[in-house]
Amino acid sequence: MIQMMKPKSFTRVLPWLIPGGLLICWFVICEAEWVPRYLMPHPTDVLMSMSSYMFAEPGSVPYAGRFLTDLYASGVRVILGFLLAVILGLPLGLLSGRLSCAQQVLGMFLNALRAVPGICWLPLALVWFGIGIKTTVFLIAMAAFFPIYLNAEAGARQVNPVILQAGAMLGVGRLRGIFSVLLPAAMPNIVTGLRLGMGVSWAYLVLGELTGVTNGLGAIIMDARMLGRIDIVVVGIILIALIGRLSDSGLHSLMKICFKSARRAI
Amino acid sequence: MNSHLKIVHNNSTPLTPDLLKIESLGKWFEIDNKRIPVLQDVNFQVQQGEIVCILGRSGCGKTTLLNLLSGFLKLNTGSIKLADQKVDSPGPDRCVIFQEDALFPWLTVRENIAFGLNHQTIKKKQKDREVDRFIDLVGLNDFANYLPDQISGGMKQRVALARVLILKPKILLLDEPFAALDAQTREEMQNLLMELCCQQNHTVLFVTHDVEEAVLLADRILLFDSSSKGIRENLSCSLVRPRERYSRDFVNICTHIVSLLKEESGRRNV
Repeated sequence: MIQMMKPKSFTRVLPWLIPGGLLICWFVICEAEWVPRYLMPHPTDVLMSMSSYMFAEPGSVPYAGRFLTDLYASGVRVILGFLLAVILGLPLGLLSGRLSCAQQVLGMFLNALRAVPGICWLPLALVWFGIGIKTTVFLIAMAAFFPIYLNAEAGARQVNPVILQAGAMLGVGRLRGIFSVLLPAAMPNIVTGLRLGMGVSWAYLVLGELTGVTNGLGAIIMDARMLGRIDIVVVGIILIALIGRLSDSGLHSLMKICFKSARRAI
Repeated sequence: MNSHLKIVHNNSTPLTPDLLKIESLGKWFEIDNKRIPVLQDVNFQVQQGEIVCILGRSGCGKTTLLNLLSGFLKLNTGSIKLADQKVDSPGPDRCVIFQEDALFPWLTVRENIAFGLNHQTIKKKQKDREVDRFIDLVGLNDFANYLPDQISGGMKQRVALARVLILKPKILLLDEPFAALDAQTREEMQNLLMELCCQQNHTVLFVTHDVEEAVLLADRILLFDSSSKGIRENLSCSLVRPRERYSRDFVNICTHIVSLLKEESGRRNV
């Protein structure tokens, strides 16, 4: 009974309620054969395919043992795109949040650009960069830039002026104040922006790998779809979700280790 | 007038040299192309070790004056000199304790107190010793590793006090720092402030609208008035310390100052 469970163990169970429920539904639907297997593969088939994709000898069966190569290819693309978005989004966001002239210069342009869906950039990126890593990195950077920029801007704008005054009064100069007062004070918003940016990066990875690249987690999803291997498509989706979740926790922990101010972020 | 309360004339010769000198200070704000004067021709001096209270109703320009002294605002006319140096930007020689919570929320009590020293050239061992001493002085030994969100309002103001006293400022500027505290905590904080200031001979400029607080703490009370855009009365308070809140002289002085403030509101309403 819920009431008899200890609160801690109950809260540990909560995050697994929806995935567990969905898994049971999936299992029941497949067992009852309400949907044909070529549309929705059985969970055990997906598990077998996942095991083969991750651990089998490469080349023994299609998609066998490709996981590490694909993870490496996708990981590099995501990290490069994300870093590019951070390098541009964070300083521009802070600048916009603190200087009204910067906000006026950047605000309208970036808010118009933000309304353009990511997929619209795909043809342009293909023309500019061709098929390959550059296009994917460009698309990821374009997508991750906006949450990072907007949250850094909001964070910098919402910093209590008294905190900045306290820093100046305690002898912190303008430039040092950016690092020892402004950035830490805006950190909860910055962390939110980075986490959203990281999530979007994984989402746009698949779009970037639609372009015909041969390896990567997004690439195998598209490849498997064309070959009718829905089980591999599901494997790809599950792995991207898991890696996305892990990279989010990793990023959050890394921020907490590197910056005291990030410990306040939820 | 009470024998413990005397009018100070600006031309009277001070016993010690002036630490803070304010001459012909004027400040206005431009709102919708209209010039709104807040302070006009303000002149006064503060001597080393003196505790001066600026007392006045809301909107009389006392916080604006404090912001000018701390360097957060630029003055329009006149000059402010601290130890013969012109004041034009914020600095650790004029530390402020704000009315609202201005601690750095990402730093612990210890780190907040050490913050100013981190930006000075001081050896780590000496810094740690100083921080320990000030944590002890404000009685927060058991809370040194707590974050500001985890401590009470009174404790936060103790941290704010330690964070500025550790820098040994030439003058301490306080902007109604105890206004948001309950009566008992406020009294504790007033006593702590007096104790620390007397021990270390700090010069203090204190802004308040609380007459009792002004009489309790001040050597001199500058009565601010919105109609004259500056000082209306410069009163010297010579009650012996420690001051008894409910003594006859204390109550008399408070009553007299309240009547002066009422005169102003009477003039406003005419």
